[in-house]
Amino acid sequence: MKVLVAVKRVVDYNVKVRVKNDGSGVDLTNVKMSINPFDEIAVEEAVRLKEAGKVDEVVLVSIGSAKSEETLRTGLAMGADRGILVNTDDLAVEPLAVAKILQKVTEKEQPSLVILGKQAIDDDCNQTGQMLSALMNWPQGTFASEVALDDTQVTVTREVDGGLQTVKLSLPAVVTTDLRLNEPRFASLPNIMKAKKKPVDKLTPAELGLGEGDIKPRLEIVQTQEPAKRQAGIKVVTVAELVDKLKNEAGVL
Amino acid sequence: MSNDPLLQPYQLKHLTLRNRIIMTSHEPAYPEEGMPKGRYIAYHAERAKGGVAMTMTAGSAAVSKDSPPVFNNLLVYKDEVVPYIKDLTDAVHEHGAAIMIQLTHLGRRTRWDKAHWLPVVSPSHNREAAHRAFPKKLEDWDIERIIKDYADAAERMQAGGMDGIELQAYGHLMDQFWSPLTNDLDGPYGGSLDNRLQFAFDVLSAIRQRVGNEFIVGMRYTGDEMMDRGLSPEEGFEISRRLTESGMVDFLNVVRGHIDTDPGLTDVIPIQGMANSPHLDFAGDIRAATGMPVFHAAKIPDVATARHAVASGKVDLVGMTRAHLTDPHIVRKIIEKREEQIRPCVGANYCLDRIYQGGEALCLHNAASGREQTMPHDIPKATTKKKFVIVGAGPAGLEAARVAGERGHEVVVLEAANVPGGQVRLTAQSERRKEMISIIDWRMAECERLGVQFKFNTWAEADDVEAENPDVVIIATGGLPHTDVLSRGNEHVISTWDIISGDVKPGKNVLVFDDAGDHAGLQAAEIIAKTGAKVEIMTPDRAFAPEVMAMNLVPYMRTLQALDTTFTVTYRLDAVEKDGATLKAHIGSDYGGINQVREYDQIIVNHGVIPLDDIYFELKPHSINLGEMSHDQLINGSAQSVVRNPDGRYQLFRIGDAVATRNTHAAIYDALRLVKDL
Amino acid sequence: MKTLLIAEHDNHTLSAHTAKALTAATKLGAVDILVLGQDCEAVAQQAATLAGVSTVLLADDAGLANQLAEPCAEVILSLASEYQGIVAAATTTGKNTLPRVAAKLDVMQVSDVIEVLDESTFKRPIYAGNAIQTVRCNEPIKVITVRTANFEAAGTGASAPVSAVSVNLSAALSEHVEDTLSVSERPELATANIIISGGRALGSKEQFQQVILPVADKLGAAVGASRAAVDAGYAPNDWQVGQTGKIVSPQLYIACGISGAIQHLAGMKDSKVIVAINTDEDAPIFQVADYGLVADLFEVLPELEQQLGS
Repeated sequence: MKVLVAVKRVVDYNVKVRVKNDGSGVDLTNVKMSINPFDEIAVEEAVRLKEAGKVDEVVLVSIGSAKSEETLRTGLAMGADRGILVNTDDLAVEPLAVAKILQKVTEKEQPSLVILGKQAIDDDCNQTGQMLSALMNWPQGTFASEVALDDTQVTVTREVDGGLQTVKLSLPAVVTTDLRLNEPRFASLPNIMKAKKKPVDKLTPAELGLGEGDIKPRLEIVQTQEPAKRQAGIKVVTVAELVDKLKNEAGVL
Repeated sequence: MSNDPLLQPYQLKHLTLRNRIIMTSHEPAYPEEGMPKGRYIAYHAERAKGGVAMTMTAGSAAVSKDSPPVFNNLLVYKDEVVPYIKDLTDAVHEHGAAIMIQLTHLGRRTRWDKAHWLPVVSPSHNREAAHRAFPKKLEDWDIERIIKDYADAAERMQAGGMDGIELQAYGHLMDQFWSPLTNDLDGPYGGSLDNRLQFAFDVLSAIRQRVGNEFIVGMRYTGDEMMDRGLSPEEGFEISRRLTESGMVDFLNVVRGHIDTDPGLTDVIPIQGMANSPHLDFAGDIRAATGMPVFHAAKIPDVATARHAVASGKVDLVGMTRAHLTDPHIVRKIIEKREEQIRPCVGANYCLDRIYQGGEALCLHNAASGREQTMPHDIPKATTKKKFVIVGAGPAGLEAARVAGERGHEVVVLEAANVPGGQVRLTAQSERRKEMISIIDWRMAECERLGVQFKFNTWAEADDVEAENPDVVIIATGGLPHTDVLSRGNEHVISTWDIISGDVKPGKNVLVFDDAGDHAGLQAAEIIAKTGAKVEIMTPDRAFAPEVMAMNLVPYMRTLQALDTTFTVTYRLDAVEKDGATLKAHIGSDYGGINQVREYDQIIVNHGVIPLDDIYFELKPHSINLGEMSHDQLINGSAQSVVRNPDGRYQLFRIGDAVATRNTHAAIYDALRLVKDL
Repeated sequence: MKTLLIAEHDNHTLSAHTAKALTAATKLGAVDILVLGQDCEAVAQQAATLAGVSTVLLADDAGLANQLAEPCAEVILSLASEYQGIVAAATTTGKNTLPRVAAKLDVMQVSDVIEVLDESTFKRPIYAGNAIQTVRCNEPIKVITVRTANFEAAGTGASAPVSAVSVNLSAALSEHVEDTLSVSERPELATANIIISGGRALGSKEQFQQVILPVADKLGAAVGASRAAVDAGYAPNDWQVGQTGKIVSPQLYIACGISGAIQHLAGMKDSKVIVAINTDEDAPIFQVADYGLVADLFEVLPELEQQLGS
């Protein structure tokens, strides 16, 4: 069985992003980039399935600039077998475009299971997995906290508001990961070295049969702003005052 | 005036202390011929400069000739110590701190085959496990002599300008009298609690007669030996009350536990992975019971816990002793509201373990501590700004980057992994050792503050380095595990890293062949043993894990013994053969004549690392110095100026395990002493 | 512009999310509400009372019982041609279903809308709320999910007509196995909306339990602890918040008897609202707290518990 895992290169989760003064976006100069944490969980899950003997091959795919190869190497160092880089240069690819590219890669690779992170921590869209699943007309198991795979189906325990929901999907299927699915392993130096030698295919959207019109951005970003600043803290005197502020001012109760 | 509880002054009799943070008595083993000379003075002066309220010197300054130091302690039984003490106290006073000293007679906690070869003495014949000497049972003239020795030493300390003294009563002679376990004497010094305390009160009286009532005298003592039939907490509280009522004692410096074994000592002074401030509440109880000024130290590594200790009234003065080895300027940083810049003590306990093994206290990740005469704690700016490229973001590379950043250089660090840390991050994979990652986190935060640039996920090739147009290139790439040490069957063994990183799942019946003797071997063994597997640790040495050292060994042993690990010393793994799923280990011995075959399902070889030095050798021909580092300049503290290739484009240096397998301290020291002059 | 709002419910009761999402949807134009489920007529009736709803569409079918994304998307798509907007609350149900609809319609979805500027311009958070993006969507059908916390609930008292939608689902791709609702269980630290944390000032494990836990249960909050409290044995390891513990960013973080060591702050400073309760008015925690209460937590917390109940 083959598993395809989509990985995205994003700003490292430890980085506190700064909004550019001109409102044109966030400042990414010299900022540490990493594999999207949810995608890292996706890679870990796929590698565990392989280690458990349920999967023969783990293929990674990343969509973005040539630098996304770094992200593929991180996943390869964790134990994936090979990578596919779909180079979209500096084009901003939205979830719908990514889903279309992944659809082509999926048709080409014919995996039984595609695992993605539930969302990327840069745009926080939480759409790609569901969109890919729709385009392939496959079942979807999103926000997974547990995945049990057998030959013909996958049972996914999903984190939903208020608890867990378990669904059984017939293969092929799409699964997206939530934080509690697993704890990704440490990519050791010997494995980083081995990963250097693993194959990475480089493709363009055109080579996958997608024209510019298929993947061009649909949304127009008007501006990017700092969120409203945290107000200077105040001291309250009584519990009643505190509860009142939390209910009526902060709106968190 | 700050409201920070830690920064409030404290009045101890006539002595005004400028804040609440002290270093409790400790002996870094820096004396020269038993005297506190230049190195000793520089060490304490730096901490006084850093703002500490009081530094207490000399864990265990010896009052008698039959209390020879086990490691290098101050010999306060000599009159010649006085002028040296004067130099020390002057240097500390000059920076506004107070200074006191601890006096002791070690009793049985030493050896007879040292100094004057006098028999060691104790109130019983019971041997102390840690130092192994069978003591002479004290007789009357010994006791009289030692009481006088204490008074003489106290007088010398007063003459040397000390602000006070404390007497040691945990594990040393005074406590050997107190504890029922080590006192077989009949009256007047043995038997009842009154009798067991008689020696201490005789010593206090003799000291008071000599130094007067004003001079500050305190007691550092165990209030609970935490040992079957040892001194109980009830007795500890009773002793606390009697010390208070005697009027001869000005402060209580509270300790809890016993130190006659390595595990006991480690519970008194807990290390990495053990709970913080485990005895603080106990110290607070004694303060509440006696109303005396109370000091206390025992793994209070962070300012928040220290602040809590003082704010909650558990102690009057809080000891941050090991924390000050890591950062001598803690108080200055609190005052300047730069707490986040405090270099964190990670509890690696390299300082204490190094006293016994290596003869001097060194901080695992501050190579300037104890080397104040040659290594700066505040890095001076360089006169000329240079471009540095550093390959590798392990401890060596990050220290080099930090120091270069402090010097004002432009610094780019290239790192193969997605995260910094190198072997330290590997170490921190074990829950018990995760505090180690602060070594990396602190440096990353400092590097960020200093504008150091990082490129992660970059397996640097020579071209990547040269593309940066550097003036200085530092290769800190570390190494990869070296397991190729058998005469045959190397392909059947795995490394400790494979286990620690999780790359290879532990087997069921595992041999760890450890001839490096460092943490990695035990760490892997611990991970495997915890899965329920059978583990045998084998070493050709006479003792296993010699590089791990006494107190660091304690938590490993507690786990490994409980999991029934086998320790096999003086045997060597020669070769491995694979037979189906079974690995046949051919075992010999350096003593000769042994050829055994034993079976396992997994064999791990711990044998250090082989340097990852390809990039160094690729760059070498293009460098000005052809990689040469002048040892004279390195040791003298001057800038490297070797020119072997005038057409070279940059200076090239190699540090840390990229040179040869050593340890974290060596890697950091390599970096600091090279880069501070570049 | 005609908009279809997907109702949030459990087949019995309409969730409060829907009234709030309705406020956002109304800004796009006239709103129909679609109730997808099984035996959920009551939900449709409740939806019909919401002010500003034109029609409530009821798709009642056994195949929709668990509101799985595949059949729900199929029904929505069958109706989509009538609408220029499709809206759902950004709940796990809405997030699960709507992108499937958007992809089939070949339009980009706008997720987690916090403000509707006009019928095609929206504000939404990115980078975990560290930046707010304004986006214009020129798609023929706007598919959006909204963060309901940012919208007031629409009023009630109306009585819109309810009309049934015929449902012809294709063969199921996925099968529902079970739901495990964690009503009594305390939420996980990492994902909790509210966290109440205790420090060393709690004094003992027993007091930690007696004082912190009742308030946590009242708030439906996860429980955290400072390192000092964990070290002292007052709280288990996995409750530790901070650099070496868990990094959290809940809507509300209540720090009780925590001084605010740098290591602790690193773990919680991104919380939306921080409350500090401490006797030491100079404790660093107050520097990051939105609301500080200088008081003894042993007096304050029981009082807080009471007041939350009323």
